[in-house]
Amino acid sequence: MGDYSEIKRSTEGDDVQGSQSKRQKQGDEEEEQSFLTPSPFESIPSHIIPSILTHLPVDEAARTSALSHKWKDSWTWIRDLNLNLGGEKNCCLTAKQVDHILSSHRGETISTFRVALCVEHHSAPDVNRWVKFAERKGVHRLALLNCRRHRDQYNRLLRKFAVGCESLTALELSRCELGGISSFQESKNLKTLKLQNVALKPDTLECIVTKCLSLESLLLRECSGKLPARVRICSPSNLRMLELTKFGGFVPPMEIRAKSLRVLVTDMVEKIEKIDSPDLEILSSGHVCFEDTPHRRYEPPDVDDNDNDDPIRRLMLSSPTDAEFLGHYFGLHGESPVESETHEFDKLQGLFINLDLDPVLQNILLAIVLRKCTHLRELDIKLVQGCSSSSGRWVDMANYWETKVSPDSIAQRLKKTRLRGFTGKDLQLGFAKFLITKAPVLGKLRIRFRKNIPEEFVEAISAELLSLPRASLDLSIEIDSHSCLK
Amino acid sequence: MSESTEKKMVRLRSSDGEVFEVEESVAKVAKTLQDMLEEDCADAVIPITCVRAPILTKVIDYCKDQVMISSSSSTTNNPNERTEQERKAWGQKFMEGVDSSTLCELLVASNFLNIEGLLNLGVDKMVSMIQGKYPQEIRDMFNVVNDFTPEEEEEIRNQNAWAFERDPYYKKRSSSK
Repeated sequence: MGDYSEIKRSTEGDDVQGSQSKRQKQGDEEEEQSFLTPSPFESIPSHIIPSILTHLPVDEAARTSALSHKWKDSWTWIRDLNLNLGGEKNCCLTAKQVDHILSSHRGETISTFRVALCVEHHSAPDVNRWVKFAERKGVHRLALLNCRRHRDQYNRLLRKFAVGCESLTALELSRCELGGISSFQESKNLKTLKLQNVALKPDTLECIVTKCLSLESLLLRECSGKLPARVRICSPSNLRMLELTKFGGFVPPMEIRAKSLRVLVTDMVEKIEKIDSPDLEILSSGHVCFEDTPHRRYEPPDVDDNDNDDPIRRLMLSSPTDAEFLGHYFGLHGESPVESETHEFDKLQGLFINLDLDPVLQNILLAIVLRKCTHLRELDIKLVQGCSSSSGRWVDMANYWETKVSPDSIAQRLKKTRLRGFTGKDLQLGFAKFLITKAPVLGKLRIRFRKNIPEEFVEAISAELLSLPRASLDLSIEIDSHSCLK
Repeated sequence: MSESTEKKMVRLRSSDGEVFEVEESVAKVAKTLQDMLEEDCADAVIPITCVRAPILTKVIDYCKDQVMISSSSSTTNNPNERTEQERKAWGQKFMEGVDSSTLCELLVASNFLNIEGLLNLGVDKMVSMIQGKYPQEIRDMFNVVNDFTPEEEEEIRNQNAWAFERDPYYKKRSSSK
């Protein structure tokens, strides 16, 4: 008993005896020091400690109880409980251990309760008990992951929670099957709902949107199931962020009417037939483009997060059908399927797209888009080789940008432009030249050449671009080739 | 742009007596100081009793940067505007090389001065330093005095045995026996 702590305190060395006495000595010195000035570690304000421990896995947080008296109970005050019970690396906590953790908790409230369940080890009553605990502690965000086995339990919980738990503002579920309408009774408080890898019933989506009146963020990732013949997402007021990605199964045409929608992420933009969301700030066809605008910021819009009036409005596309979608979106193809008309584009400040600027048609499209987006500040084009080979008929348009586009109303406010996958061919080069010579306030132009473009060619083009007279006084041009990254 | 007139200066004295003169806008990043300045009860030197000079230097560096960002972001579309990512990278760089005792003092200072951003940076740094470590390792790193008697510690470990199961120090005991 007595020698336990001595040995435990030795950090290294096989010679227990030796290190033991060394420790002892050092310990005495430390004690002496601590009389003079309290160790900085001990002077950390107590109320900060739980916020540190909240970021640690719960077992690590609990281990800090052995540090010192001051830290002993700190871990029982953490506000976020994150129990990863199903991880392969960390062996499962038994239900009893989880119960112990929960009963140790002293804080009056918890804000996040996140449990990744382990199918073999936990039964439905366990889960029920834990969720009740969370409810008692006034949980704001609840996540139950990997509940495949507990479908009935799930649906019951959901039903109960959606109505009963007033504090709950965010709910995340993964790997489960959702029942029908009954699972989503009207919910006044739920603001964020994230479903990952969840099997949906045909009416689930519509129900969620119409019944969860406060819902601000709805994320559906890797979900599957049968959708109705036409997906209608009609949110009268609050929905601000919608993500529909990696849907497994057939996706019918979609119709989105959400007056407050700011962010729409979907890899199925081509399925969207109608958007009626005049305040849309970001439309992205994938996560990829979110490198600049962290997704996180939009994901759980915290109740007291006032960082919402971000003026940036961006359209981010990254699917092969971008050009087609753009056409639809800007109402350029015949009958305009997008109802909300041009008024929404004048607010657009960022445009991130994949285009193939070899066919002249896409250049015309781009010119039209640029003309419509009078407030555009940032343009990022990834030049992709399109499948359309209709360029033959348009050979005489090789100098489209030089001759056919009147610069007066295009790119007047453009500040930043990036062209990736640049080949330096006629029309692409023409567009680059156009920007350099015509965009009045362009500050930065970055051009990145496609792989396998001969170096001499890159150099020749670079020299040509760099020598052009510039419309903007503070334009800096950066050119990267793949062989020599600057 | 608006500050064409002479900038108002504020003087701060660290616990070890060094006096720092900073612009009012910089001092106001610290909410505690902002309150004091707004109540106009800070004519003379403001004593920051629990913060030593080297720490206060670091804190002032942080505040200066915050002022730089916010003043430039009022002019639209400025080059200094940071994306979330850049902000994160900047924070990491700012805390880089901060040793364990400085970190603790920074936490104390940012708590006292009520600088939320700096406090968060400190908490993040703290988390990254103690992550994955066992109590003894944390004690060694931060020079923490173990103020438990062996019996007390044993009891704590037993209470939460599930968390200590794989503590190498714990194992050592059973293997060395």
